[in-house]
Amino acid sequence: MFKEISINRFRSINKIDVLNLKNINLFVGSNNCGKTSILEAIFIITGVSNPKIPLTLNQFRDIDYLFDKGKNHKLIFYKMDYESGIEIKAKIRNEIRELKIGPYYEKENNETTSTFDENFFKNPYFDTLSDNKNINGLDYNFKIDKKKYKAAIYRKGILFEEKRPINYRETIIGTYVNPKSILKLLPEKLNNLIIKKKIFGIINILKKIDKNIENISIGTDNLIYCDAGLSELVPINVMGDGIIRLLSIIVTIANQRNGFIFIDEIENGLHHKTLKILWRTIFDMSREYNVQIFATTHSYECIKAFQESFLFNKHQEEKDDISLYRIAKKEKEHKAYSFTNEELEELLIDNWELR
Amino acid sequence: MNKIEIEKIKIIAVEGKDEVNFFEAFFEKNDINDFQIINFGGKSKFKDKIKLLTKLDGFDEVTHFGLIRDADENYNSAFESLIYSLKNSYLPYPKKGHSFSEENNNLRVGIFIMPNKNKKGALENLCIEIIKEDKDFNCIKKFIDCLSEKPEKIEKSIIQIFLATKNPIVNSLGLGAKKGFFDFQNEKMKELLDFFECF
Repeated sequence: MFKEISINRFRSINKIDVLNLKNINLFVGSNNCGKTSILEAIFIITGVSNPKIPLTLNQFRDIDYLFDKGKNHKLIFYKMDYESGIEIKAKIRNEIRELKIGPYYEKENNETTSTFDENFFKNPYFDTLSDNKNINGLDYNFKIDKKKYKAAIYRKGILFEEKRPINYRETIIGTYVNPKSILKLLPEKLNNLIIKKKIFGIINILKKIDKNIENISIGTDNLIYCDAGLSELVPINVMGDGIIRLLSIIVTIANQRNGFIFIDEIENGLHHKTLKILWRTIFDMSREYNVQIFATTHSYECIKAFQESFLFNKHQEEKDDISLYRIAKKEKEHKAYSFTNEELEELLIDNWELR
Repeated sequence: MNKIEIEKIKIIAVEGKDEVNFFEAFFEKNDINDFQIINFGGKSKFKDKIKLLTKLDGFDEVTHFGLIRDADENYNSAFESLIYSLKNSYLPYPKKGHSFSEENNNLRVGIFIMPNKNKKGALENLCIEIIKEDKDFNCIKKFIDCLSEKPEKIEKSIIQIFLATKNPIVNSLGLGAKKGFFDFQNEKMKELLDFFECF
């Protein structure tokens, strides 16, 4: 379990320390306060030896790196200042892992040749980088309990090349639940649960939203079909975003024993009644599968459902199990203010604004 | 219902709804309009609520933070309890009641204990001091004296009887203050007024 994280110069965050992380962590704050960046930073250090992750995260944010000549690599750096580099440090159980991400430059040639027409000089947007060396990728230097490793990802022509340390074997696993990846990964994850005879637990949870749901199966076309009591099965896509969202979250937890799950804007597509079902399910399943959850929201209803659902969860005796963090920008630094469930209850009763 | 937010850079925290109404009326009468009043919902909640407040959006910008509570049986105990709460939240604190802390990170904290300096009692006692000059106060006193069994919270009873004689009848001190039944220009209010003028 992540106990604390320290993030330096990543995206819009110059510096933030989030201490005392709990089993279930919900980050809130105003727009552009950096809550998604915190999620991304924890995800990056979860997969510390995998330099593809920052570029994948860029794509989740609709920054398409394939068609951008290295500029999007800069977007993960604070104020796009890649020379200063990113530092992420985490305490996971008793392990300390540190990651430094810097720019990776083209190394194979000392000189490059390019041709351009006179329009180039009419372009008002060029910067010094245009005439200098391009960042060609990301350079990873990481330390696990003081043992050092290196990795990198960079463009090579039209392809990408990745270097990963052969003497490092990752011990933890995390999944970032994103609408773009949900439907692609869902059939395989669902199939795992069907094989492990765990699917009925999942169906029982879905029944709380739609009592007509009797079964879920995967077609040979790799589509997920739902038996909703009609004369034939219907593809899950027609059941609505809420069902797909809920299904993807619970299926990910059930597949991720002893792992970590990251859910940005967890409330997306969910009715406020479904939010309560979701949180109750997360509280129960995260314990059952020993999964640590990191989520963000800017919905007051979601915060309320988070707090209220905790009172009903089976493991309520674990009062120290959840925390809400309000992320705020304070001059040059960001700050995370943590609230226990009891504090949250007080604030919600008094109707305080928390987002 | 609108959510509560820290909207001003000067805030005071009070014990309950009655105090909120009382101070709204007091501020209006004295042209003090730069303080936001926050209801902590009971003196036992000051310690936790102070801590919560410091973690909310807007508290970083607060420059004046006033804490106002009743002395009850002991002025010094009430003061010490607030100091403990402030220390618990790493906030600056004044050396004595009815005064202000040094400025720390642009924040100044003030404490006022009701009814007045070194007195025991509550907001009701301060209001009784004011209505003592009311022409009918002796009638209220005689009524209480006449009772075979004295009320347990005599100050609260006096205020309720006083309010019951007014037109329109209201059933709480705070609403009475809003109706103008307490003279905020009275000499007995000077300590409270001085507190806000010096803040």
